Amino acid sequence: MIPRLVLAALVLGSLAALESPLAAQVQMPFLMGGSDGISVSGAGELSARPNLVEIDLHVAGKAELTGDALVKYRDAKKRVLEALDKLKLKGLSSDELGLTISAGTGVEQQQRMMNGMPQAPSKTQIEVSCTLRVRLKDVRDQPPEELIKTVGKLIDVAQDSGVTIGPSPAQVMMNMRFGNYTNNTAPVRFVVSDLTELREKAYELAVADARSRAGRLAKLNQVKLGRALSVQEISVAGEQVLTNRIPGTVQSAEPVLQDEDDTPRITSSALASIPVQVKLMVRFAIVAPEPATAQQ
Amino acid sequence: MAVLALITHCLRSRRVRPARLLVAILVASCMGRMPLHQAQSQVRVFAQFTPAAQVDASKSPPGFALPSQSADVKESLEEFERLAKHEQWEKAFQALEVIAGKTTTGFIDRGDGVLVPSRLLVRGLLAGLSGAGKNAYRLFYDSQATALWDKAEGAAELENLDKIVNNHLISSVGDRAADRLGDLYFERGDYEQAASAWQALLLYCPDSKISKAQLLIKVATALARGGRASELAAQQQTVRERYANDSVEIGGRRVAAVDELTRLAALAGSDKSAVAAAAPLPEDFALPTEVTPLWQFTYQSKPDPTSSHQPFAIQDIYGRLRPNDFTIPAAVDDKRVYLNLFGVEMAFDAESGKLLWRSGKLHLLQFQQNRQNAMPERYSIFSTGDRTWSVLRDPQQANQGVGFGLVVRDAATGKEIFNSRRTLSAWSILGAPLLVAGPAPTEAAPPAGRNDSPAPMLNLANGFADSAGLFAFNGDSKLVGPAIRLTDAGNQKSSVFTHTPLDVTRFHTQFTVKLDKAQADGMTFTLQGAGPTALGNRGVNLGYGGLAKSVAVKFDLFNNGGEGANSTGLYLNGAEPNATSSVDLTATGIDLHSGHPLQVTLDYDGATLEASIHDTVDNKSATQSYMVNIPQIVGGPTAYVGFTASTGGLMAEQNVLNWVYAVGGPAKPKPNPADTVYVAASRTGQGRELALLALGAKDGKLLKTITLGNYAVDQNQVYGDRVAQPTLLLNGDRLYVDTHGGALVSLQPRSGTIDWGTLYDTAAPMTGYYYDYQPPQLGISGPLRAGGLLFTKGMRSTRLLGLQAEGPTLAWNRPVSKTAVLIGADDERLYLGGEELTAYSLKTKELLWATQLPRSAGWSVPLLTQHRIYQFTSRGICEVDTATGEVLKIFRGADLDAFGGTMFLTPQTIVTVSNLAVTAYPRTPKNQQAQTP
Repeated sequence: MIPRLVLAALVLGSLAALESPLAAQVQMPFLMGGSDGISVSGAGELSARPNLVEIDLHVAGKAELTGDALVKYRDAKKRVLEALDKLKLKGLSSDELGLTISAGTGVEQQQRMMNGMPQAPSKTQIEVSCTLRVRLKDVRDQPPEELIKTVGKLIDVAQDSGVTIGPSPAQVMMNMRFGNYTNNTAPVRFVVSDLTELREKAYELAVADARSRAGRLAKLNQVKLGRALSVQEISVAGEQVLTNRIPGTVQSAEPVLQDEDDTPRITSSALASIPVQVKLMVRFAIVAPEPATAQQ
Repeated sequence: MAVLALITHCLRSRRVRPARLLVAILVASCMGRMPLHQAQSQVRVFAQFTPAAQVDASKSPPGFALPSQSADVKESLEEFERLAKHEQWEKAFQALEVIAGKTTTGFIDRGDGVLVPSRLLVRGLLAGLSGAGKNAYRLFYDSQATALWDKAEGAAELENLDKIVNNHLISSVGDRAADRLGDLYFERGDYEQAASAWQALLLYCPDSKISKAQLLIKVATALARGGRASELAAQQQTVRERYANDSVEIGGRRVAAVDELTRLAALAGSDKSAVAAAAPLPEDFALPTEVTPLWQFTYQSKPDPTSSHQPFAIQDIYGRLRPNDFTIPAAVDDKRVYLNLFGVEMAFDAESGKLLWRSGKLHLLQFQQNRQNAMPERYSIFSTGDRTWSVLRDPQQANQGVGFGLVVRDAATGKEIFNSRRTLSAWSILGAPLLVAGPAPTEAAPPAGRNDSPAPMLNLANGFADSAGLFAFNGDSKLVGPAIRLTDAGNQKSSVFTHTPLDVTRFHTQFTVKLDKAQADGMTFTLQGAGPTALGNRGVNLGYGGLAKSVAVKFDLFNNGGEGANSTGLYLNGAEPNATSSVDLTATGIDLHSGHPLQVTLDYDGATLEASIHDTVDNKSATQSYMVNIPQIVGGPTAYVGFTASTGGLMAEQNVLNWVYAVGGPAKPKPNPADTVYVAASRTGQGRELALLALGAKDGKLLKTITLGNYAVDQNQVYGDRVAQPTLLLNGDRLYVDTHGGALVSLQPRSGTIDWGTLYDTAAPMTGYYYDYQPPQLGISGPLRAGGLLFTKGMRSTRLLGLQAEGPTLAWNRPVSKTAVLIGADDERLYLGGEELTAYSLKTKELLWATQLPRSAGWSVPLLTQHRIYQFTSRGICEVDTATGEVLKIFRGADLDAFGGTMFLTPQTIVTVSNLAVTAYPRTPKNQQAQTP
């Protein structure tokens, strides 16, 4: 039992250290395969304006007859797509994600259920629905006011078409009911999707930062810094979902519905420069002191 | 043989009991809605009904109960069937006596989901007896029947005849009694009962020596008088098939039965289907282009969720606002806009927005509605031009237990004419009232929240300056400034007609003519089926004589042959408008030569053309009425409409200054002392029962109470939910009531006799409340006729029913959204509103398209025109193409804080009514619509 407890404590400790990189500078080495050398974290951060805007629309058709539900779904999707097309916005595209056919009761029945009320006789309702993800590309160079205006147009058109912005009303109600107040339901997301080059730069900055920190420690300890023995990524922009720490940034327990395209990206619910950050843990060797004493 | 095979098929299906099957055939026919052969052909449909015992578990318990018969009636019925099968006649008839002795208001399930009065069952059972059974019956009961026949004189005549027809129709005097009973009713003007008596004779007394053809003509005459066109058409078919060579005696002369029926059909317009006979849809109109309204009256600011001090901030029991599940009841007429603000009625001038009158002060409403029992659904208002009809309660006593009354006011002044809360305090009114004009009922008055104003097809009230492309100018006609000039020299002839034909089945039109230097000859207003370039002859012919397929009203300046030098009159098919049929105007004070602008108004209701000439300077008027079947003469429901004129040796400068033409105008009921207003009601404090009250339209005096049945849920115990509001529809001489609690009832309004009722599946209202309960955003709509069917949709039902009312047989029983409301129909599609707009094929019942619009206020019904649906939503007025469901345009307007609401049209304005404001926008004339994107 004891070894297991120790192991658990170590794991928890390591997770806590992940949340606090500075504190990890002295605690992390055992994770890096040895205790020799100087272990430091290094962070590299750039910021970039979003180059993509995404809006999720809930498109649904609900009816007792599946045929009716399909017609309603077909027309709802058609009307919103036609309305979006009429905007003739450059870089606008849309994808249908997660088409589902579900059966259940109406919102009214769900309310009754949750309140322990007797169920009224009701017919099963079939809902055909999908998330329609609307994308507006190449927006980095647009002035914020203009971009917000364009996003407003998209939202207006969607609302005029009668579709729901964000998740379905039933999902919102369930979220509220069960205290799931995470704001991953933000219907409009600002995305940095061209991460590769930015991330390379962030890596360079992180490595330089780590070497600088390690150099400082070596100097203070009157040792000479050697080569890097090991490097570990603590966090890399775009590889962990939604970890940005700026006000209004989406902090999600659950990922939003993912695209088939798994290109690294960073998402924010706020229109602002988005940090592209890389954090590394680097262990440097300590160059052994001159063997002068031994020769004497 | 075919019928036999059909019956055999039904029997083999084991879904209909043999005796019930036969009764079903006979009862269906007996109810006078179709000939026997038609009833037989529909037995197959009866057999497909789901009997009550096979109701699936997901169905709700019945929400409404029609008056039912006691268990011993049902037992007696089974006893009769059993004994008759064994030819134990005496005992069998004794069993029937139990049924006959019971109240005649009880209903029995016909076995196919339709409930019929038990008295009809008895009649049907007797008629279905074998020859031996009938002989036995006569043996036992002829003496009783004969005694009644002998006593059928004087004051007791009708009562005794009625007993014979109901209980002893197959006796040896039954046929004579039925015939005489029909005569009696007919003489009294009760055509529905007359037809019923004669039809009973035709169906149940096949051995009668009374001429079948003569009886059919009698029935047809009663149907024609009752406006039951579709049934009359069925009668025509029967006569053509079976009595093609028979003659009948009419007014002392013998005529062919077929010819007489054709004449009656022309009188009643039975060549049109029920759909065509319905009021035509308004013309499409262009949405405003300017956001700034003509005027706006705001009765509350944007709802503030933190404030409970809003005048109409309706809350639930927990104090939470329910802002968007109601709309303020409103109505319009040509001149005014009316509101019923929780009991405070207001009238505004439609064009200027000037407050004309109000029944109380709005501050009386402060804090009165801040409770869950505001019940906005219970208020309504509609206008009949000279009166407003509102259902309301005292605005200072907005408590659950306070009853609602019908308040009738003078539309111009707001002066109260009567208030049923004072005269009928025991009754609380439910739903919007229905006014039935005169002895011949007209179309149903629209429920509150629906447009009841005809939309002009032509609106050139300001002259013809912008009329390019609308008219064909023929002969010497031309446009001079904003006026049409027909002639201005001698020996001219001219005509001006619309390029496209207009609906002439029912219309209202008004134009102003000015005849200067008026010597000769005159002009006409003409409707014709020849074409837009039609032109008659000059001189005495007024540019009209010689036009085939035409109807004209003349304004004759010259005395050619004794008509006088100042005359009017109606002329048909290009007849020379000379002295024949001419009416001299001299005695009326109207002088066509005066040079004054003369305003001419023509109203056509499908049978009568009323023509009025008003001298706008001398303020004198003259009115003539002409009986004419315009569609028949012009060759269809549409015609080219316009003016003709001519001169001869003498001249006249004949000008038309302006013109408005609207369809459906005269359909609005105009109350007169003979009218009746029908309202659904329950006794104050008795929220289960439902009755139909017939009130005198003049004074609100209670004329008749018709018990409809009982709601399963006491409507006074409905908290946090909406109370059922029955809706009424008059079609022909039948009144249909949807209780919106699970039943549709057909009845004869004048006699109060219920023909049948059918129950539909519906959810029950919430009688309790709990914190998270968000009631669905309900709406309500009345039954409507489309595609030859009667459609209805209960307010909490997920079923759309379509019934062949003559029978009745169930043709549609289709799932739809619970919040769906019936908007209307055209020839191809039935349109529903609610949380989404939908269109269903009238032929295939398929859902053709669905359009989700931004959320709108509950209890509002979109506006349907010929090719568009307009819905006032929370994000503006959406204009939707009825063919595809595509949203063509959204007009944001000046009331965007509201949750949407209802739209109305007046001749000059588009009016929107929300929970915040009433707003009027200028209405774009038709001739500018084409330029509007």
